[in-house]
Amino acid sequence: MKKVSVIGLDTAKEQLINRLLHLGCVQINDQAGKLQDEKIGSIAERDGSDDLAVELDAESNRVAIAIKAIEDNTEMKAPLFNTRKEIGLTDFNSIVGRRKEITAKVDRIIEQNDKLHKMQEKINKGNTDLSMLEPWQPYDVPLEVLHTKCTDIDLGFVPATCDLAELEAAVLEDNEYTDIKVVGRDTEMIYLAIISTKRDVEFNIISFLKQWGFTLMPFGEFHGTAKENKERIQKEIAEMEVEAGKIREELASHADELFELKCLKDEIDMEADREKIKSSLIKTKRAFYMEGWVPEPVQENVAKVLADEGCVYEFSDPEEGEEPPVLLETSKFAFPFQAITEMYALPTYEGFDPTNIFSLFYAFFFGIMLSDAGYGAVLTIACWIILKKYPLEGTMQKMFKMFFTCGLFTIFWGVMFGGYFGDLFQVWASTVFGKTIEIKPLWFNPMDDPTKLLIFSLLFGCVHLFVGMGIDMYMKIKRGEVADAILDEVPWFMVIIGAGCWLGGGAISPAIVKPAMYLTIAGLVILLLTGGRHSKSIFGKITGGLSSVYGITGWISDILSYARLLALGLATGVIASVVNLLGSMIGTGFKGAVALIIIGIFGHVFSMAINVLGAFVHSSRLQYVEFFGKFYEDGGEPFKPFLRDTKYVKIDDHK
Amino acid sequence: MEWINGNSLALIGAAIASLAGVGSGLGVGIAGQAAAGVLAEDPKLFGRTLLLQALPGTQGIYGLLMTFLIFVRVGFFGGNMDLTLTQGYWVLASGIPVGLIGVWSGIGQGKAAAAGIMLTGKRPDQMAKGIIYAAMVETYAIFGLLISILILFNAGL
Repeated sequence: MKKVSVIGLDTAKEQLINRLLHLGCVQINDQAGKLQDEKIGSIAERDGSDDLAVELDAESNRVAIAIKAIEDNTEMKAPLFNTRKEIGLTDFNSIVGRRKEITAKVDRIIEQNDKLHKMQEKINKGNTDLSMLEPWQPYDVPLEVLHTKCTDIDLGFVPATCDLAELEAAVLEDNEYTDIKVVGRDTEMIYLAIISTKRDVEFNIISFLKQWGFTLMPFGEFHGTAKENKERIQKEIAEMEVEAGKIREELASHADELFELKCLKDEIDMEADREKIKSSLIKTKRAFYMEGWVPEPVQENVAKVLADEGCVYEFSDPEEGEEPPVLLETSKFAFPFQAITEMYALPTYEGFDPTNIFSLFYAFFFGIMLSDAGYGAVLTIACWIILKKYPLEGTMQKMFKMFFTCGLFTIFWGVMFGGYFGDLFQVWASTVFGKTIEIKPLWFNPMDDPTKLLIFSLLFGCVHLFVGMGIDMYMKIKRGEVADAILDEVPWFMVIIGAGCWLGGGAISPAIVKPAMYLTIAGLVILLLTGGRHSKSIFGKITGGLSSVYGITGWISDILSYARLLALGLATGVIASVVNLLGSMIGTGFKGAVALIIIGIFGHVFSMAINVLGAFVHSSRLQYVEFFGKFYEDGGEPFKPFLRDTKYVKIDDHK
Repeated sequence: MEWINGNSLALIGAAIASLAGVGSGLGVGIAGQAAAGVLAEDPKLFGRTLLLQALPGTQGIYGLLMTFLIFVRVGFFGGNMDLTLTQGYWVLASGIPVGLIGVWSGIGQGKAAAAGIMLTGKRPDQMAKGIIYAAMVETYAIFGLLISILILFNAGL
């Protein structure tokens, strides 16, 4: 990463920003901090206009609403993956050249959309009114009539649990000229019309009735009987539905203009980005100053653009205390595995990027854990088809490429262990044709001898951990901590290799057991003596030594963790066999074939899904916890270049 | 008590191994509740939460795996089971670690997965770490399985 500082003339600014946007490989840093400096502050000011950016954002929002309105009212099958559509630069420019025309369309669409929303609201209100009026259908007095010359009418409801007889008795005792009519009832409420004579004294019957939970109906806006109102509202709703349907149709008729709208939205967003990036610049009357990060490999391209635009520029190395952003640089094989590194956290700028190294281990472990040639082939082919069919980008693309590679390793391990959809072919032969066939694994079948695979799993684990430690040594030596590099790591190499040969070496040759024992002890002694070297007091030195020897528990758990290679590898084989077994239980011959196919498809899809998930999670874990734990320094900020951050279209400059 | 023989003991062992499914059932349930809660806020997270919910399911698979290995090892499918009492006890012992550890590690992993799902709900970019937290628990189920397998395959059948 190089830091680039640029001073240029104001006249070249727009053109420069535009070209940098197209180049898409410069991260422009905010320079507002520089204005704090009095000398700079007196001649320069912040560039860019917030108003324009806000305006563009608002416009972009409007287009987004229009796009959503059309999409909501069109029956479209949602694609499996959201991909950006590729378009040539000339085509794109000719579409956004008709900006005025498209904006007018957007306005119309939004107008229709608002209308639709308002109508929807009215329909909703109508429906609420209808459900309110429903229990009052038998009541044939117009709803607005709340009193006659001598009587008051109160319409309301009480909860269904209310004791009506008691209510009536109480009311009559208070005023004997009262009539309580039950208009209707449902599961929750009893609807009442209470007619009483007017009194001389002011008497609030409602607050009196409230003791029984009586609530007045809010019929304020209705005229005529409940029945008339119901009919009216129903008619209105029907009319509005027709109208809304028409609007929906009209919105849907814009479906073929959707692509234009999307282009326009992307164009507006890019303009907004250009405007926003200007606020990271500072300007004087006629010139501007810009600073940013450029990855070294593209330094020449950036320099060419800057020179073309007549700017004065300088590339410099990051200064002390500056944290440049991090962009991973990997081999072609390891490229998709960046997704795994990014999912964890990027390494610091000074730290070590292990993607190149762990990618091989990742695919290797994934293969052992899935360990079925059939599943591997399905995974590889599925990823290949998806990658061919959809122009995926970013993390998605990396993931599928990664699973493609992992699938190939799975095929390899499947052949080694003799797993082809479990024992599908053997079961098929015996159920359908009544024959016994045998498919020999290239190496051995872990179901017959799990202990052997366990030992190899732990061995692979040790190699993995040793590589991690090697990286730690390399980093320490690079920082000049040679003594630490040797004393922290070498004794562990001695202890682990020694202990391994001591315990298991007898199987190879009895001669290596003794030397291995001495190697182990020597390693432990070094740890005991040097573990506390950084501490000053004698007490600290002793506890430091002891605690570093105690670190062996950590090593044991790290190494044993690789037993998951065996566990998950066996799990695949067993689940697949169980699926085949279920299929074979139905019958033999033709019946058996049908059962095997039907149960096989469902069963193996399930089995594959669960095992791919397991292999993915646990390969990741082995990297994150065991491997990264040995050396990884995370905390880098990702490199965020100023580029055409479009959502819908991918612009191809060469077309 | 003639029903206590090698064969019946071995089958009890196989049955105990499959009990790991209890842990998975509870664990997946706990994670599922959390997932449904998160989904109410943002339905787009279905795929991610489902991934996390599936994690505590592995204990059940290990239980199934062990049961199946016992079946194959003692010749249950072939119908020619003939185990001595001692062998029967060994096979019974081999079923216990994976079955028992599976129950509690399944529940524990379910809780960790539920927390991971909450994390995903608030910060979807941090999902990977949620997965790792949940996967840490599984290590102990794997150890249980490992011990079970070592007992079974060194039981001299």
